[in-house]
Amino acid sequence: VLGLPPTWYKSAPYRSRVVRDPRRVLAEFDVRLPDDVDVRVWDSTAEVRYLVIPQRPEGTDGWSEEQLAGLVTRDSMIGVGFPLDPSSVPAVDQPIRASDHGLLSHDRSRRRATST
Amino acid sequence: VNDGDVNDAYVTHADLGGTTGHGPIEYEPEGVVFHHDWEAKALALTVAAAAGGRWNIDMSRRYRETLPDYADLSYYEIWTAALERLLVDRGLVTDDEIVAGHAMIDPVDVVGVLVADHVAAAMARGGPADRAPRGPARFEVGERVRTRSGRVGHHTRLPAYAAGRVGTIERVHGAHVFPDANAHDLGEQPEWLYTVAFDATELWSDAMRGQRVSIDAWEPYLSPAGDG
Repeated sequence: VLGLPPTWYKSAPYRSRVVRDPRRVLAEFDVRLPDDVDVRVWDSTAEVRYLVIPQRPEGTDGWSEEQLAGLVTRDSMIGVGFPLDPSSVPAVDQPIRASDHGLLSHDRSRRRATST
Repeated sequence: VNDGDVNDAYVTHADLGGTTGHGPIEYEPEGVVFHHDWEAKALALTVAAAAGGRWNIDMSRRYRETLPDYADLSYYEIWTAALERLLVDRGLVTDDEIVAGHAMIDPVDVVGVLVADHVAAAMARGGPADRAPRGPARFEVGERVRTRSGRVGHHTRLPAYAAGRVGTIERVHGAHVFPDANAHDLGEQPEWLYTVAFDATELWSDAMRGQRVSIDAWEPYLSPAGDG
């Protein structure tokens, strides 16, 4: 669904740790969550695939679907990153580089992991 | 390993969830997919060879997870090593041909050939695993279930960390191909598939409270938890 996964996602360090210690793993991705935010791990053990719907950032009122899609990163759909900061991207319809690993101050999104 | 071989000697090296000592996560920016040209070829060869229909995805996973040197191989090295064994064991290639690097026997009939023009459509279609159920579902959403405990001598998708644990049925996915059978060439034997959610503290005594982990589990992995 998200294309070929990155190497870290398929490697032993991530696969072993993310199910057991997700908060610390997320912190290593610069995703630090307050204690009152629940963390959920979906271990995809079957052919069912999960993806995270990132929380819509503040400051995006009136944005078009296309503009909002420009904030969504692969990592934010894996659950190890936030969408891009709206203030970090051009205001109008310019292509967004998906490689910009931006962070936002919002923090309610779901996590998932895999043990494929 | 022979087809259908199910025994106590079956060892998976891929069941890593919750284990320790694997070193740091080496993050890479989005867009980095391959590190060597041969990795893209390994992926392409694996997908193309699978189109021949001599094996299924569960068999591929069985071959990969049982490689004795699994832990020492990179992801695509694992794919390549498993593909070599599958090609030989399923009669498409001989060991001599792998050593020689070229064909020495006549081509074998296969059910499908993936040609370049069809790759995009084939990848988009994927390999759906949902099937018609063979009977009614045993569990419903909200029921407490206990997962199977103990070792099994065959391929399975129940992670060791979730074996013998009590969780709650969270979703019923319908019937899906049963990997435990399909991986051993015993047919698809569709079984009901459920999302089962656990409190992390049920899985690990040192887990944070409020954290939840779910797996997808086929019905044969589950029994009613009872009142306990």
